[in-house]
Amino acid sequence: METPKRMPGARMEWMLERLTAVLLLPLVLWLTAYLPMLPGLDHAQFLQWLHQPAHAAAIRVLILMGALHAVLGIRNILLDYVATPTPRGLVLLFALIVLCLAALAGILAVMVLNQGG
Amino acid sequence: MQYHDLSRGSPRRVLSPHLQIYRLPLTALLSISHRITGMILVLGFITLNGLLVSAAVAPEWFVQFTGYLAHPVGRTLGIALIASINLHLVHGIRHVIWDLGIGFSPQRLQWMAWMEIAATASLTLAMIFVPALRCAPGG
Repeated sequence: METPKRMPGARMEWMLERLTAVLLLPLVLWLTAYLPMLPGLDHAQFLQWLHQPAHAAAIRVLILMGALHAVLGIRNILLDYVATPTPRGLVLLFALIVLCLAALAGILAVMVLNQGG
Repeated sequence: MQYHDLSRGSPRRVLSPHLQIYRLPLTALLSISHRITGMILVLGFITLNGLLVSAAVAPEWFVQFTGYLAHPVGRTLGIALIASINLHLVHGIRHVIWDLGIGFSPQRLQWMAWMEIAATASLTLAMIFVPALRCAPGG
């Protein structure tokens, strides 16, 4: 009996979730190592930290990959716990909008901060 | 007893107690923790972007934001966030190891679960205390 193909995007979603996770691994370790220090910095010190090219690039990639990984994760949670498609789709759409707006705002902020110095 | 069609909204049906009485194995607890920390990290992600926006819009907003983060409540939430990141990360590595087909025997599952907890605790303690040593007077 042939397996019905009801979720043609499942393989791509699985791959993307793993790919984003692997890309996020070094970036998250790097950022988390700096996290305890960041609240103690004043604005000028924070800008100095962010102006290092590696840090600026890493933050941007982290924001993009993090948003994608988060959306895929939220989709998996909703698929497990919300049976009806319409509420599930609406919640996923809301999460997608929030995460996209947050990511866009973060990347624009990094661009503005890097132009200022 | 009437049974309702599940496709027409939430049915009223009798359920046996399950989560209320069943003690989950360690691997199951870590699995749901992976999911819970994922949701915590979404909030952390939004907070990070908020911090960047505050720094870009006005220095005084950034100072106020970091003031909240430096408050004892903010520090506690920060430590919880770091622990969540580490748990999610270490369990994610375990998922990738499972994707390779490794680690499904009962003994190995148990061993890996304890290794995961140890790795999370070690990473969290290192990330909290090493920066503190770096910021010590004279350092």
